Amino acid sequence: MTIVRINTTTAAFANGFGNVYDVLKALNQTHDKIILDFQSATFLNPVSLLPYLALKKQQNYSDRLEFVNLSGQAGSYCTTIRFPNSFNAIDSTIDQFDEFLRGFEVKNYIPMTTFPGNNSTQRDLVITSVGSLLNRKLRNGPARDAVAMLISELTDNIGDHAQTDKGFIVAQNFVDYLDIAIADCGIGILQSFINAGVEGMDSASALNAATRGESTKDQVGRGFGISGTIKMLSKLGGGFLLFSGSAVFIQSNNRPAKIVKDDSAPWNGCLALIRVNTNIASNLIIANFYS
Amino acid sequence: MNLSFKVSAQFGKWLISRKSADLMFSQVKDLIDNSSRLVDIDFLGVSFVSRSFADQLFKAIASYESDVSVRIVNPSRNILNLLVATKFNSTKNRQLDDKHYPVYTTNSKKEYLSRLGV
Repeated sequence: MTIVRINTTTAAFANGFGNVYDVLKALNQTHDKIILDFQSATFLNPVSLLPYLALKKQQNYSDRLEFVNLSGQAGSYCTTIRFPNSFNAIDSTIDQFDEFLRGFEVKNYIPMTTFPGNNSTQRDLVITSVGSLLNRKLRNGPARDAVAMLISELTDNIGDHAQTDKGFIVAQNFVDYLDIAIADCGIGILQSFINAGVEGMDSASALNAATRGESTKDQVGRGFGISGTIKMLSKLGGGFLLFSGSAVFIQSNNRPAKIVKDDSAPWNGCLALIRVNTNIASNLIIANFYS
Repeated sequence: MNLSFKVSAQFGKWLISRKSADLMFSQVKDLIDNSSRLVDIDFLGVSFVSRSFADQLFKAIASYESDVSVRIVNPSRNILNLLVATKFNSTKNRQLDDKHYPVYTTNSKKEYLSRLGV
């Protein structure tokens, strides 16, 4: 048995990522049952919890992960944001999902939601409902466009590339910024390139290729999703972490973007943590970042 | 005869995926008959269009071999901006960013987190 003590303490971007590393390393290098102990977590941001939900929902990991000390105030909060169960929008009608979301009109967050990973009308409807609710929470026009674009591009990537039946999303709105986490446990960026016939890549070079706009779909007009996201967040301020395979791309305020690779703690699929500055110039044209 | 396809009536205010662009243009084509000369795709009431949707729509229109003209009408300013940017990209091979991000490889948690700055 391996115990990972979850010790998120602040709302800093990607706070708690060290715990994700510990869990992934234990999953990858042992056959142990892994206990995630939340007793030391003094601040719970839904965005930092989404990776654990995504892992727990995988058939090969579900029996190995256990969450403990989710009681008291933290436990109540987790129940509210639907951790670790999430709202399953795959098996719900869109009317049921909209009814569920109506309970969050006055909240500062979108609860953890499992959505269809395939390219389906149901997925579009779920993401549209989530995006529309986030839009109603934001007053700044360009920020609304930015958030809508980020969600649509990153969830569209799941449908186009991940080859998985589900994706996960959660969001938390703060005073000047919005945090979003989107995850899937699909084939990941490297395998997507390999399937497209590209040879000689590893996780880091695949991530480098995706971030500079290369696409596994050999068509004009492709490859803007991730590269456009990076350009936009670089200009607006905020943060972007994209984890696929054993490589992590990170860009955050005032720090040069980079890729860090550790083969011992891979994420099978894609995990995106996004922080968007929602207090931005009202004349900014978001479309320009995708041209 | 001129036709009009009201996007928001069929697809709502948000259009976010390539699939919905294909589905929408398929419905547009279903409207067209022998007497049609022009079809307007009317974006009145649509509040958001994703770049992927726009790109796929332009591809669908470009691959539609017909004497019928297709016109996009009533987009909001933001949607128009996006359509213009996407249209440009949909017809030209793009230039990739020159940037290659530095890669740091490690097997130490301390270095991993330090490099990430988290």
